[in-house]
Amino acid sequence: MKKQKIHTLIFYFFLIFFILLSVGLTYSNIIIEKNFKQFSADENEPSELDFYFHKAAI
Amino acid sequence: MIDNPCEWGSAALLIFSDNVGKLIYYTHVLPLVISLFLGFQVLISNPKELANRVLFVTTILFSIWVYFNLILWASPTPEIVVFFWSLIVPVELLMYLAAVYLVYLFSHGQVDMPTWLKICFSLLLLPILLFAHTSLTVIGLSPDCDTGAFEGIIIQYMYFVEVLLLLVIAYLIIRGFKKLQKKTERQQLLFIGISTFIFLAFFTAGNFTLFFDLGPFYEQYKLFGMPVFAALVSYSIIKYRAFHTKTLITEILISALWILMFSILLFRDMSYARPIIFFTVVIFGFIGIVLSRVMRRELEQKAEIERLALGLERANDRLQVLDKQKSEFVSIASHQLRSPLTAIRGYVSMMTEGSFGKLPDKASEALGRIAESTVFMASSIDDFLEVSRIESGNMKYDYRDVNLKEQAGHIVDDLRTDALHRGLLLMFRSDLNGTGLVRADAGKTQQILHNLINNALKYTPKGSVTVYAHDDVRGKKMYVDIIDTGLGLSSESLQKLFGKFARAKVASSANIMGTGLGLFVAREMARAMGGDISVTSDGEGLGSTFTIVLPLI
Repeated sequence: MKKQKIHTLIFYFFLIFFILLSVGLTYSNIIIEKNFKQFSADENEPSELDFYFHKAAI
Repeated sequence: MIDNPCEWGSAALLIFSDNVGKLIYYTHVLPLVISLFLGFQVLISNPKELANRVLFVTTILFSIWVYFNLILWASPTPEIVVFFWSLIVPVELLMYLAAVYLVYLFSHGQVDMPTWLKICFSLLLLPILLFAHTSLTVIGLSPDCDTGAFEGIIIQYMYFVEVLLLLVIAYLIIRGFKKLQKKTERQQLLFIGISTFIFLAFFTAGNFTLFFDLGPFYEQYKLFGMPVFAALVSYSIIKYRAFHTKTLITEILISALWILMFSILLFRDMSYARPIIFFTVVIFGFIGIVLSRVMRRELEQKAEIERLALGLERANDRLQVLDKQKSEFVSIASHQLRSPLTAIRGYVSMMTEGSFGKLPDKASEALGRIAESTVFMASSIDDFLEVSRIESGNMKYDYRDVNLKEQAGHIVDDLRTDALHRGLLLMFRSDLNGTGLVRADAGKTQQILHNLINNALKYTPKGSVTVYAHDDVRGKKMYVDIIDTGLGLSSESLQKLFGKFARAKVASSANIMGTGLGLFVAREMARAMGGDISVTSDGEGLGSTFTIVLPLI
């Protein structure tokens, strides 16, 4: 029982670690570095990304 | 540096903006409130239960998702939009994983998921966590100001995993339904499993509307799975005691009133009354918590009493079984003792009568004592058998018209010689207005009268014993009093006298033999025939009066 508790603790530690890592990396890359694209609104220029285009949020 | 491409104003708390239509707030805020409400209710009701904690985490993740999604709608700042776009993806998958965990618990009788399985499920999340910050998740921002984004391969991967997890939930429901033994557990699983499936199916369906580019209108339906989920979970809590919540109704009422008061506080027009409302909200919140705790404590005490009562009921059943077994044992043992005793009494009688030749005086004296003891032993065995028959309900009564006065008179005549030997005066008197006939078993009434008169003679060292038969025609009762001037009874002895193996204190001190069953048997028989036996005494040394009462015909 005690062993299982330790395993559970280790598991949640890594899960939270990866979540925080992900948040940290995203914050650094997007908010600080502003490392993302902003596409042109030129409607006459069809793009291969049209397939992925979505009107709204997820 | 990317400038704000839109002309929106800034969003308060990142979500309140004029750019966002009222429909969006309606579709988002309602499920958000319901979700938080359900999550907190279940957690507060029983925080020790794992399933309650998992449900809480699921609702919190859903709420975070809704909040992030509102930010995407309202925020005019590109980097904020892309940042939350990137983070909403792991939040969504985490919510799916928590939901799977919840269904797993209900499909396995609340047994926790093994760590290796948790790791396996979490590995599905790992690519999303590792690539959330890259363009594999969000490639870039939409060219127009509708906060849309270009989805990378990681988001497509998430859609695939979501479908996979929906199939896992369906499998867990079917598996659990087959394997769970208790009906309640199966019903709980059915409700929680199906409501979770509906909740996530709405979500996945909403995602596919994006995938097939059906527009934002249909996508809004994805959030309506939550109210359905909350309704079904609440129903299962009330109906099937899922999540072991006990004071849910009270807590719902308290919380609903609290939210109502709190919402009044937010109205701008109410600024003059705000301090009073604020004070009321605080006081009501405090009272609500206290009320909820008191009620929970009372319910726990009630549950404890119910548990103890159940234990007592079981113990009582067990005692009844044991008592029955004991009566059967006594019955069998008494029968076995009776047969050899008959032989002993027969041979002793033959020896004393000289059937085997003349015996020396000392041997005759010894045989006389053996004969006396066998008489007592036979009487004791008869008492045991009577008790055993009474307790097992096998006592048979042959009802006839019995003249109780005459019967008492005959018994007095029979015992008069014995009384004279003891130096006692045995008298019979009667004062009847009616016939003196009762409907009873003649053998049993004779046994009762004989027992009581014989007892009176035994417990009266000097003086007299009077048997007095009288009736109450109006009350349809026939009485026979046995009045003695004997050892009498203390009030303590009076209370216990009719119990099994109960003997008066004076009996032991006066060295009078007896089993202490005679009066118990006599009263049980009298009661079975619709009558009773009672006793009165003015105290030790002052004599006593036993009264037999039977209904007149």
